[in-house]
Formats: sequence, C-alpha cells, structure tokens
Amino acid sequence: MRKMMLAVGFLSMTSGAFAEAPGGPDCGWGNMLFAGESGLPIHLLATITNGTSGNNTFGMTSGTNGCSANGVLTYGGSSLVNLTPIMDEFSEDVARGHGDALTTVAVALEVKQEDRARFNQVMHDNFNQLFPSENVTAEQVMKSVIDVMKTDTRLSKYAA
Amino acid sequence: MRLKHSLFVFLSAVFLLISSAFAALSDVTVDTLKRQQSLLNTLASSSEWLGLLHFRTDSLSPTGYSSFIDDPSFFLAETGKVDAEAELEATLQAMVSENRGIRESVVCHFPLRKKWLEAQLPNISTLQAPLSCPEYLQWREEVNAAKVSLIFPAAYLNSPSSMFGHTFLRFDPANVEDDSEWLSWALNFGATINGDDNSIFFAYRGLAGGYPGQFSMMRYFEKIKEYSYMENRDMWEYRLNLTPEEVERMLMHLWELKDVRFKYYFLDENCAFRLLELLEIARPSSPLTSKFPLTAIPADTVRAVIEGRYVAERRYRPSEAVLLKERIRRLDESERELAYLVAENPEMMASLDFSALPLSRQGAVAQTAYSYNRYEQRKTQRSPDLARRSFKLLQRISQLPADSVEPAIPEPPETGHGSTMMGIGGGSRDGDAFTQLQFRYSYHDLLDRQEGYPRGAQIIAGDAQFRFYENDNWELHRFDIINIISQSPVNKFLRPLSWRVQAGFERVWSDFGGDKAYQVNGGAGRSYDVAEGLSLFGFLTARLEHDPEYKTWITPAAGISTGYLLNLPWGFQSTRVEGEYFSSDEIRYRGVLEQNFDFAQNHAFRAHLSQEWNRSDGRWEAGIVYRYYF
Repeated sequence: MRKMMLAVGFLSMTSGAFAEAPGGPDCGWGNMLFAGESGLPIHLLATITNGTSGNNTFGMTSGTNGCSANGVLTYGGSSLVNLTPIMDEFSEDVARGHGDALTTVAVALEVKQEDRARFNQVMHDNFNQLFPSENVTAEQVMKSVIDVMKTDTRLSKYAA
Repeated sequence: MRLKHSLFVFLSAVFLLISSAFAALSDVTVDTLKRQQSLLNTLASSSEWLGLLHFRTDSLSPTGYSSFIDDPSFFLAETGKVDAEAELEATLQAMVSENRGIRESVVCHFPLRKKWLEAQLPNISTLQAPLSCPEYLQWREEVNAAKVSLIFPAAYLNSPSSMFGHTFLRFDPANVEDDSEWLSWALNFGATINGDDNSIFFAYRGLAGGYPGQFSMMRYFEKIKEYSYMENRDMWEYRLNLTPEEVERMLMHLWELKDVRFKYYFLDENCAFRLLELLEIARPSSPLTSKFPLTAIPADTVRAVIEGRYVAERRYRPSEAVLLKERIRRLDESERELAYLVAENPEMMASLDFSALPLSRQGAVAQTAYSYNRYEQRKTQRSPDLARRSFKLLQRISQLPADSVEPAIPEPPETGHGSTMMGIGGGSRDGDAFTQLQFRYSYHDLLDRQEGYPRGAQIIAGDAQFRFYENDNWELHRFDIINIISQSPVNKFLRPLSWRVQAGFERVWSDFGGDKAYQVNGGAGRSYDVAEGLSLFGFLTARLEHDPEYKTWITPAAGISTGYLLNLPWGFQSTRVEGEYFSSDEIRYRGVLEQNFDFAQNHAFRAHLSQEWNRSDGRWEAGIVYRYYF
C-alpha cells in the first residue's frame, strides 16, 4: 500500500508545475493579468491531502486569512474592500458587464439588490477609467470605483 | 492557543482532584449527579455522547473504545480519549462548577456538549443557567450560516491524486440568492503543510498521517480560484436540507473542533470522512461514517450523502477550462484561426479579417482569445508581455457585445459506477479454456461507463485477476498495483501531454524466460479527438521487467503503443497495437481489441480479443467478464 501511495505522489509531482513553495508571501492564486500577487503555487501535497498551507485560520475575524491579510471583503459592516485577490476576475466582469466578481464587489460595498444592475452598467461603461493600464494596482482601481460611483446619482449614496 | 490548551489540562487536573476529594465540594448539584450514577452511565454510553467525542470501537483501547481525536485539548478528563464516562463527569463537573470563570470557559469551549447535557439533565439548575459566550457568538455571526452546501470539486486530468475528488462545506447566509456566494465561508478539512518540507517527503508524510489535519475556513471565492481557475476542476454544489437546528448543532460542534489537530490520512481519515462526522453530529439519526470502515473516497461519500437524503438541490460550476473549450467549440474554423492569432498578437484585431466579422462574433473571438491567454498564464508567473496582450483584449471586450457561454452540464458524479469492482468470466487461450475472477479495489478505467467520471482518465489501484485453466490450478494472472492513464486531447489551443504509468505483476508471452513478469512501465504521448466520440492515441513507452526465471535480474525495454478509443452507444471500444524491444534482444508485440457493454450504472460486460507474438511464435486469446461495481 505504501509503495502505491508513494508512486501516486511521485507521479502527480512530475505532471504538475512546481513553481514555488505554497503559501508564498501573498498566498495568491494566480493573479496574472495584474501584478500584486505571486504566481502559481500549484503544490503537490495540497492536491493530495486537500491541504491549506500556512495561514490556517478559522475565520475568527475577517482579514486574518493570510491570503487577504490587508482587509477582506465582508458581508455588511466594513466598506474597506481589498480587490487584490479577485482583480483578474473583477476586470473581466467589468469588461463584460456582469459576473460573480462584480456582484461580490457590489455586495461588499453594500449596494442594494435594486441598484446592482446600475452598478454593473456604470462599472462597465467606465472600464477605461477603472483599468487605465495593465499595471494599475488594486488600490487605484478601488479608488476609481468609488470615484465613479460618486458621480452617479443612484450609486453615490454607497460611496460616501 | 497553547495557553488555552494548558489551561484546560490544568483545569481537568483540578477537577480530578476535586472529584477524588469529593466532600470538599459540597455542591447540591454534584450530589445529585452522584446519586444519578446509573443515569451517568447511560448518558456516557449513548451514541450522541460518543459521537460528540468522536469515539469508535478500538480493540487496542482498554475500554474497547477510543476517540479519533488525539489532541488532548479536546478532552477535560485525562483519560478522555478512551473513557467516555470520565470525560462526561469532568465536563459536568466543570459546567456546574461554583466558579463562574471555569463554568464559562468550559461551556463556551464546548457549546454543543452543554446544549446536549442541558437537555439530558433538566434537573440540574446550574446547567440551565444562561451564559454568554461573546467569542463564539461573534464567530457565529461572522460565519452567518443559515444553509450548508457540500461542495465536490471533481477530478481533473493529468493529476491522478485529484481523481478521487475532494469535498468541503460552504456556509451560506439566508439571503445568498440575492448576494454573492463568493463571500460565503468555506470549511475545509486538510493537512496543514509546512512549506519548507521538500516535495517527496511532503507526499510521503501526507499519506502516512505525518501531517496534522485541521479544519480551516476561507472565503468561497478562494476555493473557486483554487479549483475552477487554477486546477481546472468542475465543482458540484449540493445544497443540504439541514434544518436551522441542525445547522446550529453543526456550527456549535465545529467550534469545539476549532483548534483540534487530527491526523490526516489520505485514504480513510480524510476530508470526506471528517465531513461525514459533522453531518452525523448535525443529524444524529442518520449514520454515515459506519458505511466507510476502510476508505472514504470523496465521490463515494457524496453518493452516501445523497442516499442518506441530505441533499435538497444540486448545482454545477464549470471550470475555466470547460468554459474555454465551450468557447472554442462555438467558433467556426476560420474564427478559431483568428482567435489564436489575436491571442498571440492583439493588434490583429485591427485586421480586415477581424473587423469584417459581425460585432457579436468579434466579441466571441476576442473573449476566446482572452480566455485562452488566461488559461496559458495559469501555468506561469506573470509576464509583462502576456499581461499587456490580455489587457488589450480586455479593453476590446469591454467595447463589444458580451459573450456568455453555458456548457452542457455533464452527468453528476453520483451517477457514476461504484468505485470497487468484482468480475467473473471466462475465455480461451489458444484453445485452452479458463475461468477468471477479478477484484479491483478502485477506481475507473478508460472503458468503464463514462457517466460521472472524467473523460480520458484512468486510475486503477489494486486490481487482481485470477485464472483457472483446464487441467491446472488457480493462478494469479495479473496484479496491478497502479495503472494510470491520462489522455487529454490536443487541439489548436491546448497541447497537453498524455501519459501513463503502470506497475505490477503480469503473465507475458516470452520466448526468453518464463511467463511471470514483475514490471513497471510508463509512457508519454499525444491524444487527438478526430471525431465526436473517437480519439486516437500514441505513446512512446519504457519498461523495466524482472523475470524470476531469467538470468539478468532487471531487463529494460523501450516500445510504442498506439490505438483508438471509440464511444459507442453500448459502451467504449478500444483497439491498441503495441510492441517492446528488450535489452536482451527479445521482442514482444501484441494487438488487443476490447469492448465494454454497460447496461446499467453498476453492471457491465467486458469482452476482449488479443493476439501476442514473440520472435518465434504467437498465441491468441478471447474472453468475456461480467463486472459488478459497488
């Protein structure tokens, strides 16, 4: 049995990229378009044992998870939104005008259900302002999101 | 956490002292308990209490029982790991203690034990008194769980270790439909890895229980990114029909397990098993773990949870790779060509070919190119060039009509055949009739019924075949320790390597030594989908063989293997032709035709026809085996 397991482990190792030790400084999962997170920690044991690496928390408080240590998206409460972990997904959703990442940001900003469509539309229309280049940072994007919302009559109340 | 732990050890020691010097504590409630010794016995041996302590029968334990949990911080009594009654007494002593601090710390650490004892012992007034546990309440509010879903990320090709799947839970707020489940909390049970370990050591320790397993929580979007984006695994979400009370029980118990360290074993005490325990805690009337005494393969546990009537609703979340494939599929040949060019060089969007397309097709092409770049980026560090190209595409996409795709939903994992298989059949080898018995421990081969399993993936672990030839005895015909094949098709966009590896014992047609061969072999190659349901494959192979009747101990060989895999209405068919040349100058080659007839989820026939040759002679064989999966 032991022999078999070792072999299986060995195999998956050769088949997967082994870019770097898991749980790098930012513990990012492939934020590739926009800089800010480390590359790709596909790691063997995490796959085998479904493990998490370092930064193990129990969700005791928001923001303690190492992957998003500098302020996490939350349900209600904080409007301090850290876009870093979902920058790629957010940019793609803004380009398309809909998607889970866009909804997530709307929820985190406490945009009410009836204003979500408006939120999607306004973000989409302002793609170029939100994402002026591929080197934009999450903080800059977040600032632009707030700026854009402030200029919209229905969304300005959420950006105060 | 260390501090808390030692506090508990200290506290439990104190309680032991107290209970031995019983008179010292002239509390009425403790007297009451003492008089109710028989009641305590009954409570301590009840299945609910044993469940709360994660007890199972254990012949090595002096009491015949012991807890799965090794972590002493989970027990108040020193003998708590093996003695459920001592643990019950210690828990009660603490929960009715005159010292409010002790009472509070134990009650707030074990809210479900408290709730259960409170219901069982209504006469003990101290137990009924309300206590506030701000830490627990704060966490409970943060988790905001009204509904629970079981999430199953399916296997993905090219990673055999993922083929058994994984399971974890997701806690959703009551209004998740309006909000984003991306922000819901996911509860994962996994090994805690020390990033400094080197990789091979990693694997070994992970499988042999050398890493501590722990529950951890993270936002669901992190899981989506991990599975759907990074590993290209489809995710199945099963919303459970737990009542609010059952959800409450689960959360309370989870809190009790907050910092507990389990041992993590890949095969049995793994993610899937721990989640079954949690479901049992939530709904004690519906036993699940007892169905998995030896191994808990996540796909099997999903089936058990469905059969146990825990599931209200199922949802499919396609992986990014599936979405990309669907995007590619919806383009015609010239659009595909264009998408490929545009991905490499976004300036091509200014070309006549591109601008001649209707706007909606431009959107589809640009989106495909973008998704392809993203898929490629997945495998590397961020590169400025790739980022620039992706960004150009994204800018253009924002000006074009949105293109959404909804891939067809595949058969869900629970519709798949059972992961263990037994077979009985017979056939003839060169006119010599034989009877065959087979037992395969796990999991799926290329010709098995497709539903619920990834296409082009085979993982066999522990497959024994015995034969009885006329005028002879039973003999071991073949034993595969592992036999893994990964055939992912190559197309214009995706060029994955196909590979295979096998190790075990087999009977060979050799004109050099005997017919017994202990061998390990592997191959690398390509696979192409040439038509709907028809793929061709080719491998270059290498082999090391030990033949006990041959003079060299190990004989290496190199060879090729090629053939097709065809999906017919009654089952998969495959033909392959392969040959090997050995360092001993021996040559062997063979042709094999196999046909599966699957007539139900767990029943199939497998027929084969083969011819083998060596330098001097050939032999043929035909046979059919009935296969039962469970």
